[in-house]
Amino acid sequence: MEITDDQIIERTLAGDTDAFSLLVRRWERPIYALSLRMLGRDEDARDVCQETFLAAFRNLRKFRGDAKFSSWLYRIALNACHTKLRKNSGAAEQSIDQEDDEGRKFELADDGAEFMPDRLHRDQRATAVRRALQALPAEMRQVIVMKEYEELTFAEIAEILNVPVSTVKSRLYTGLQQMRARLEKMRSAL
Amino acid sequence: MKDTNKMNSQNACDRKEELVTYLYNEATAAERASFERHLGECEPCGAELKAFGRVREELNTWQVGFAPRTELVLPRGKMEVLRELIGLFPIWARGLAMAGVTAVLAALLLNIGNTVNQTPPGNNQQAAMSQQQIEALVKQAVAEERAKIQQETQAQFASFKAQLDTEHRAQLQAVSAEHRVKLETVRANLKQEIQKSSRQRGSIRSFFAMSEEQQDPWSDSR
Repeated sequence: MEITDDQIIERTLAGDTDAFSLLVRRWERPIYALSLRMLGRDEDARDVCQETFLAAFRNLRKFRGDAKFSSWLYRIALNACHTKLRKNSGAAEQSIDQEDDEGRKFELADDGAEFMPDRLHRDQRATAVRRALQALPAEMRQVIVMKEYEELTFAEIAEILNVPVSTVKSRLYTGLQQMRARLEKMRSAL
Repeated sequence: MKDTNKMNSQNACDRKEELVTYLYNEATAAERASFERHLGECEPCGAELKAFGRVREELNTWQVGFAPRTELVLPRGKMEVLRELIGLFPIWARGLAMAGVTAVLAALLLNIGNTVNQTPPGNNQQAAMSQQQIEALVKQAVAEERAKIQQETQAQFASFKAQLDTEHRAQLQAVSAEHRVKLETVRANLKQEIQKSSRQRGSIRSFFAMSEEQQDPWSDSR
């Protein structure tokens, strides 16, 4: 039977520092993915990932076990993302009409472009999504990321953000509406 | 864009939360049935549900395939570091350190005792008693610590001695057995050599005896 998060925490608090690396291995993928989708840059996501686990280790005694360890960890990661976003303010929320880092004008593939190889087509759609998501306000983006990619329940998201479930649903609804509008705008720009 | 916004804002239906609950399959059976009945009547909600479904499809084109390995240098607790550091020293060094610490503590306590002695005359008796008690306690602690260290050291010596004795005895036994074998071999060789030489001596003697008989026909023996 696999050792639980709570058991690893107990071992770590008892002085077995190495046990904490089990938690890191278990949760680094979701935390990295969440950070990458929130920040849009691999380098920033790596930084946040590292900061999150260090902060979790330092404050492990404050984790009372009322919530799930993963919820607590997501909350730390989101706080680190917001700090990073504030530091990089302006750079992170880029307009979908902007040119990319290499100066290329953003283009979205036409759904009817049958000649385009599937992989390239998918990559372009992913780029469009990434840009549209980055342009959303952070409070909507985080809800979409947690619901759509991390597949958390509304209750779990509400717990992480410390807001009512109705607020989560409302933010998700508005976020999806804005995503729809932005993606349609990209198509019509072609 | 204006058309899109207009289209989006057209859904004035107040069942938005129900719509996302239904969209993400978190509705109970009753909620589901209720919202499905609503979908049959409300065209904007139906259209929005479909549009959100397409947005979700688009969202899922962005997949994060891998995560880089997070390398953390975790800060160790002071006690953990201290415990590791102490563990590096042999037991006798730890004993010495302990004795040193005890001696320092004793010196400090004596100092405090002296200070107490210098307090006003009314407190002299009490202070003297305190000092005696302190000295007795310190002496007792030092004696206990010394006895403990002596015991540990003696035990270590005994263990070393026993180990060395065992090793030496085994080595001696091996060497003497080897020598014994060599001696036996040498003795057997010598015996063979003696037998061989006595045989040779006998044959030489008989040869000379024969020659004498032939060379001196007038000897007394005849």
